[in-house]
Amino acid sequence: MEITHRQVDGLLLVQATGRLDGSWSEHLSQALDELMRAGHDRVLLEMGSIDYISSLGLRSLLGAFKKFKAVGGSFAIIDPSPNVLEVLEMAGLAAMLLSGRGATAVASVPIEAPAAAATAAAAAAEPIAQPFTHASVRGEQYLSGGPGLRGKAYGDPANLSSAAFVNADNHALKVSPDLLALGLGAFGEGYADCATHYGEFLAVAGAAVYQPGDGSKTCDTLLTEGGYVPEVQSLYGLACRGAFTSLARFEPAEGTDHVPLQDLATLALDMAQADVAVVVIAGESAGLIGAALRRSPTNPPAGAATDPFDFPGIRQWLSFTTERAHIRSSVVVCGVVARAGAVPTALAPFLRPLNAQNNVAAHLHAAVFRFRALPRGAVQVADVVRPWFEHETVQDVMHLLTDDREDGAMGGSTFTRGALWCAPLTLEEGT
Amino acid sequence: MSQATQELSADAGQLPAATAFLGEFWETADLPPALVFPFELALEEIFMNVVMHGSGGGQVPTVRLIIAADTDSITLTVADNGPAFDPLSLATPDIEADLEHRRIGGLGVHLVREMMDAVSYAREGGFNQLRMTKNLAPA
Repeated sequence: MEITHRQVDGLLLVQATGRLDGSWSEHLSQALDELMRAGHDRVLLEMGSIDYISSLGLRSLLGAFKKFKAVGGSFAIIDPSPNVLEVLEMAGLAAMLLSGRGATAVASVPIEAPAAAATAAAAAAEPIAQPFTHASVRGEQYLSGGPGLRGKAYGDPANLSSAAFVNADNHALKVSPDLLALGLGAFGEGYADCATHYGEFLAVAGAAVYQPGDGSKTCDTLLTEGGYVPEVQSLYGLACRGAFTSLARFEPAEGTDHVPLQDLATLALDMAQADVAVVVIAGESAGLIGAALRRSPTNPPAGAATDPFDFPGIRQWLSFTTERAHIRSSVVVCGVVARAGAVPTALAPFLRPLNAQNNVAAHLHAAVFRFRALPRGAVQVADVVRPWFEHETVQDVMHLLTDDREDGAMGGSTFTRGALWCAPLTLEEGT
Repeated sequence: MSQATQELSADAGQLPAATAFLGEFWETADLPPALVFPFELALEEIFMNVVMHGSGGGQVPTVRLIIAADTDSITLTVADNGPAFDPLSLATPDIEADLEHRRIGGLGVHLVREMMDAVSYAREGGFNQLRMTKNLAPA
């Protein structure tokens, strides 16, 4: 079986040639799965050159239909051969799987490119894509200017180890659409209400999610909706507001099969042309390394005394990943990265080295979803991330860490592909 | 009247060999090319059923393929010495069901029934025998 594809009109036309039988149907399923993971969410399968199909072939078509539907995309068959059409009709699958669009409508479009006029119009409206390579990353960058984000760190994470938080440490953050925040927080009325369940949170694009530190494994999400703006009660963290200035669509460079988080951090600093940058990553995980609070620090276990940011630290408060977690899941990472030699004093308590070379420091939280396809091109943070929070259950919230122990170190988190938004961070005075 | 027989083990890797056997018979017997598709389909569906469900007794069954053609009809018999099982006893799938309720199991046998003019099952001499016949249009 031969499978080729080309892009037409925002659709991916996949052409398969040969037999869709028990020997080859799995091959087609895998090829379609890879295309979905590469970000193609609208697929038309041309079946004019498939002269044989069995029930196992139907199974792979039905599986593809369900998968693309599950990621908010679409999958349909065009131009079926007489044998394929006959079997689809006998199985009662023709109405479901055949595209309403006539075969000729797309078949006549040239293979090389969409119409020139459409390309020119799109170029005028969208920033220009510039190919780049950076360490083990490659892709396209979309750079634009702007002041970036303004914000500040509040509270003191050092209080975590001594369990010294008090009522006055609680900050209420309004989760407006321009807020990007992460730290220790909870949903509730205030300190007293939240004391038993503070946990890791992140907020982006008008959505906030946290993993309650009360032993529950269920993440809690709130969304701005019309006039309703939810609040996060937070003991410490980083909160900033503003617009991102740059975007990179990334994938592994030639000869590598995943992108390490540290390379994305240095890429963000280069793109933002700054020593301190705010980042959001949305993409497919190749394995996350990190930790989550087991219990709210305002309700600490007996004998806890070490700084829980040190890896490996005490395990009474924190649960660490013991292997690369959430491989092939979709993930949203939010946080702040800084060049190690240029960490502002106000941020120093919040940032930890991201790699053994110690050239970049970060504080990053990740929210994990089941796999969702990423729209292509110069997309905005909210366009990608907001639907995930609206339509999917967050499976986990983690503080990303690097495991650089001498023995059996797992290193840092890695990604298969995704989008990285970044901007310089301007720190505000005061607390 | 022409006839051919082939024995294979019920292993998914043998599917191309089974299909090739059918293709060779078609050429030798000079049968209508348009009729090879329903027989290839029927052969795969029944053969893969044996592959997937026939090894319950702990050993891989042997599959015997018998194809016979005369002026009126073509008949393919797929026989296997696995545990006794009549695939025609499977419930017909609900092909009207919507996506969420769609089960693919039983669909293969449904396609065989649709494609063929006559399908029958017998257990003879320790073999499941599924006979599938398609009538030839009078010349």
